Amino acid sequence: MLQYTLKRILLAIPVVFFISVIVFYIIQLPPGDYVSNYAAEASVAGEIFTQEDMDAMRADLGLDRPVYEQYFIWVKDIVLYGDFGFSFNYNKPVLDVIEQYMGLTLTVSLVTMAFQYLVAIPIGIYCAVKQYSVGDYFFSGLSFLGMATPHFLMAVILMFLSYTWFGDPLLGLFSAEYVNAPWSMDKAVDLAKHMVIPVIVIGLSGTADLIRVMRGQMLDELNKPNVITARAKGLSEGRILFKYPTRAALNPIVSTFGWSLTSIFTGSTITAIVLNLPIQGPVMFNALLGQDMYLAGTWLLFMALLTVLGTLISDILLAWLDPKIRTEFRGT
Amino acid sequence: MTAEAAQPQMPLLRVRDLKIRIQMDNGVMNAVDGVDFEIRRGKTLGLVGESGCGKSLTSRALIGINPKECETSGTISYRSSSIEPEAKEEPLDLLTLDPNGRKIRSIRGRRIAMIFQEPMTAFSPMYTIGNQIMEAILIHRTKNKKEAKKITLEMLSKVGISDQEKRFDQYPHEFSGGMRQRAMISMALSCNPELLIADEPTTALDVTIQAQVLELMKRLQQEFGMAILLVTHDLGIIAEMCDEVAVMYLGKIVEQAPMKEIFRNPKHPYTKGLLRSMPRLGGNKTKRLESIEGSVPIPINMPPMCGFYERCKDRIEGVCNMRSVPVTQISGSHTVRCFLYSDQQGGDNDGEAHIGN
Repeated sequence: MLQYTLKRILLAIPVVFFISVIVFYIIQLPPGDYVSNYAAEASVAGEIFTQEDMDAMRADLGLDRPVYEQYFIWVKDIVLYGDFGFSFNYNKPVLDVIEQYMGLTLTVSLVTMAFQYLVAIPIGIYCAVKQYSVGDYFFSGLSFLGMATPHFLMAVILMFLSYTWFGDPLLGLFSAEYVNAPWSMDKAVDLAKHMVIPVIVIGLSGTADLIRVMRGQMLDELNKPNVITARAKGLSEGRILFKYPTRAALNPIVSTFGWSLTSIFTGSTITAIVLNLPIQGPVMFNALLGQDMYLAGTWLLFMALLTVLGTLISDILLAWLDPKIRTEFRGT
Repeated sequence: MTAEAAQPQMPLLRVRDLKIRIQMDNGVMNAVDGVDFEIRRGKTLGLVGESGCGKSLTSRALIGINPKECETSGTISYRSSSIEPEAKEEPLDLLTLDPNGRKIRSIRGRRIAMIFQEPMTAFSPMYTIGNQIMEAILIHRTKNKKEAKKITLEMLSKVGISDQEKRFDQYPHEFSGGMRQRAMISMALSCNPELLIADEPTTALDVTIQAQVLELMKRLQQEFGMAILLVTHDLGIIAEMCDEVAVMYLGKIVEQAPMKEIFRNPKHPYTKGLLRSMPRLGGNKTKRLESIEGSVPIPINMPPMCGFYERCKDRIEGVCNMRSVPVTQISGSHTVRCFLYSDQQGGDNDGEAHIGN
């Protein structure tokens, strides 16, 4: 098992390196750079940049060097100093920008994920056990609706409802008076209140998806001969349900856990913009728009890394959960 | 002559007019259509028939583990001896019990145990063999895990699995097919049942292992003194194992007799066909093995007629396809459901006669 894990990690290194090259290439692709963007914005404000000004600024930011040289400097700083570069937009190191938003992003993402699993798994089991019942149709209809409704639309609808019913659209994650206040019980309650809509909106399609997967898995498992064997042994229906089909159906669900890692750290971009959430998604979006290349690059790299890591975690989880794979490792 | 006279002892299990109907999109399927049989203590009854004749449904109906879609009627009177030996206790009709209730669950696995065709899928791949065998013991025999494990290890050694301590912690995929079926048998016998229902127990095994497993079942039957209901399509296994045979076709028992009688003196054209299609040692090598022409009709919206009519060589037109077939008593324990032996060919009996009624 350990050997397998080490091998997988070693294999991930060239993958990550390759990804970093692609990432850097991609963020160089759009015409212009941060300076030309900045100049264009400045000219709108009435400030005229001359060619010399722009060249000076490029030299200052290191943007006048050849692309490969920029790449090597970037990678060298990451590997040697853990320095991911400088965010032009925020005028501070990339890591500081990310750190600033990480806490709330993780909070929103983890709560959303917990919401997804806690809601989807019981409903999925219920739908499978009571297949073709009114409840099954109700939840199936609801989950299809949840999968098909665009996030931003859902966000707007819920904000509207919240406004008409409670007089507050619950925009953002804090009420105005708490944004810069130190942490207190009231602030936490305020946060919890504001999280309801984002969690539902972000979690809805994932929940809907999981319900379908869980229902399908359970239906498969419920008809397996081992359920009949368990029944013939004299076990009660409840114990059979949890010991055999549910346990077996959880495998594919748990293994998807790793893939959601990326979305946990990056948060949901469009929903976050609509709901004005101070999480990573919109920051990333603006970095791409403004060609804030080191911030954007770090972000893309980070996402890629998380995908690789997530897959690794999924594989290890699956190996750990499935006795068949587990014994294969024990054998070697 | 009545069944009671022939068998002074009350049978362990008496099935009367067992019917299983399944609602399909295009009508009601009479999967099992009025089955009567008896299982005597310590004896083996073979239920033989081709795929889809309803033999598995029948066997599973005995302990109520068919899916909800199966509408079951009739009576299954079960008289347990181990509760109170020789007592005049009223037999229990298993069909009247709530299929998820406590009462039937205390019978399943404890008094009537079952083994299945495919031991790979009948065990869950998620838990160790030991865990799954112990489970039945923990429900029915003891709450003490240590004791349950001890019984499990004993059972494993009884079915010829060596190195039990190690085997106990292994998963089903680490067992070979034959070993899995042995483990399955040890699980079924772990609570010392009165009746073992074996649904095609050797179909998924190769021939050498088949013989071993059958031998094992026979030995354990003697040791535990249990009755066996052996569901199979293999007449060779019937000859090897059974005291009595019931031949099933299209949801009905078409012929029932002691094992030797069936092989020596088969009556029903279907039974004869089955016997002819069996390969024999020392048989004619150049002759093709006979088969029964045609295929089994689907029992949906069938008119009252013999289900074997289309495939029967000896059919009597105007009789066999006009009415349902009554049961005819050939001798004390030999019954057949065929007009060829019935004196009612011209009569208007609807064929609802039962043995021993």
